[in-house]
Amino acid sequence: VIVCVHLPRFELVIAKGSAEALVGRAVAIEPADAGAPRVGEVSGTAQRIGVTEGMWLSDALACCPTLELVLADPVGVRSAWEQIAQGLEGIGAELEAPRPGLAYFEADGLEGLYRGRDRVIAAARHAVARPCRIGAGPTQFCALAACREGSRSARIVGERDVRRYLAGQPVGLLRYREQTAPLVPALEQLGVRTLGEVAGFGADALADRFGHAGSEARRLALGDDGPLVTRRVEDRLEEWIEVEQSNSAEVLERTLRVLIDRLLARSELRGRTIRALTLAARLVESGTWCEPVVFRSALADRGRIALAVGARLRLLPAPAEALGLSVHTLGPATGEQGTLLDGERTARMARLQSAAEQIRTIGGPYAVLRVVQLDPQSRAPDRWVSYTPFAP
Amino acid sequence: MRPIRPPVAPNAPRSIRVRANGKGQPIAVDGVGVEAIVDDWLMHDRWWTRGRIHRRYWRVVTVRGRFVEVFRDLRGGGWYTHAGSSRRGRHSSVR
Repeated sequence: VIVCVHLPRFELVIAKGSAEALVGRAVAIEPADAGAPRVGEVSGTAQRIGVTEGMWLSDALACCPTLELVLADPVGVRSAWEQIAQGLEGIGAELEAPRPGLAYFEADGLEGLYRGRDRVIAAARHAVARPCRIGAGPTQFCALAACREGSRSARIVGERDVRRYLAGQPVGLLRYREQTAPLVPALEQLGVRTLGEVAGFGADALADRFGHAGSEARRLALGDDGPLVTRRVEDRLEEWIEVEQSNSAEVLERTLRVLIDRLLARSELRGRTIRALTLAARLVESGTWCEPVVFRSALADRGRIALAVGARLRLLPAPAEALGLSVHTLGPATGEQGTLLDGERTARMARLQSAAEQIRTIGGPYAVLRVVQLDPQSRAPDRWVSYTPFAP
Repeated sequence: MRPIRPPVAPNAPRSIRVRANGKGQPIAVDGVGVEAIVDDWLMHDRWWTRGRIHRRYWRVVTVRGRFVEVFRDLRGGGWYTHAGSSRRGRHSSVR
């Protein structure tokens, strides 16, 4: 049986400081992107008024003029969620954590250890150490549905009851899957309220109307789901430094170099390379910011890391009072070794070409693009760069 | 799979909600008050073509410390920003 642990409105609770601060107040997370201003998670009060996550800011304010906007705290969310995830892993659970505030694990292997399913669930609740909802079922989707019932005791759905149980659940559950989330507004507009109605449609009809997402929605509604994709348990490598002169680019770059040096000096690395990092900042006024940096190849060279990460410093949305760097994914222990001849490069280009062609066959000519400078001297920024089909 | 549609240009203007005072200066961008106007300039370009550009640009810093570049289209009206303009930060050059 799969257990689902859900902390509703996790990002909003972290941004606001506590769940109590949301009671009776219409609050939403401020849009992160000024170009596409959509609100983030919303409080229950705001939701009752009609504000929903992903709504345009203008629509949200029109719907609820007293809506309070709070700055997102991605660094706080990451840190708090990591703590919870490590707590759950501490009871022996192998976690799939698709997003902060939502985790699944297989309980069968732990039942012997804790002498019963109920005790496993109790241990999980104790490990989370925050108010959370827990549910269990034969699949992740079913466990998610069960934990949304909101009762204090965990709801456990049996193997035989899956279809019947899911049939009565609202289609809004499909929002929790990235692939099926876009279907929900359309289904609701069509008057489809429950997953049972979705399952009642023919597979052909759903695929015809919604494509692969429709087929996926039907599969979920019928109680079918994929296996857990568990995360790797690794040491947490993170370094932070306060910034003195938050407005100086030179100071920021120097600070970054020190951070890299400190990170590479950590003994937990044990000679391994770094595949992906997260650059984070605490902003002067309030709020935090983070930007993932994935290297083309796993690196251990501080100069190349500084070059790749330093470019992201320009994305800082406001002056920073502290800079942080954390390792997201580690690479192999062996360093990168270039070849004397360019045979490897040729083979790589051929693979790249083949991959680009494959993607273009599936998605059309705009599936793989390259950004090129169009008119960098133009006074109109919209003419500086443009897209062109990618060719290696 | 349905073919992917052509993407919007990276820096294409996007509509933004701006409140302006009597002089036409922005005082709030996306509901956030403007702390100071850093720069403003007039752009009259490509006037020899059909797609002529006539814009008034404002580079402002909001009360939350963010730099945002907005412009008013003096031909068609309306306020716009360029994608990522608020992310270019303090050190970008004003064009």
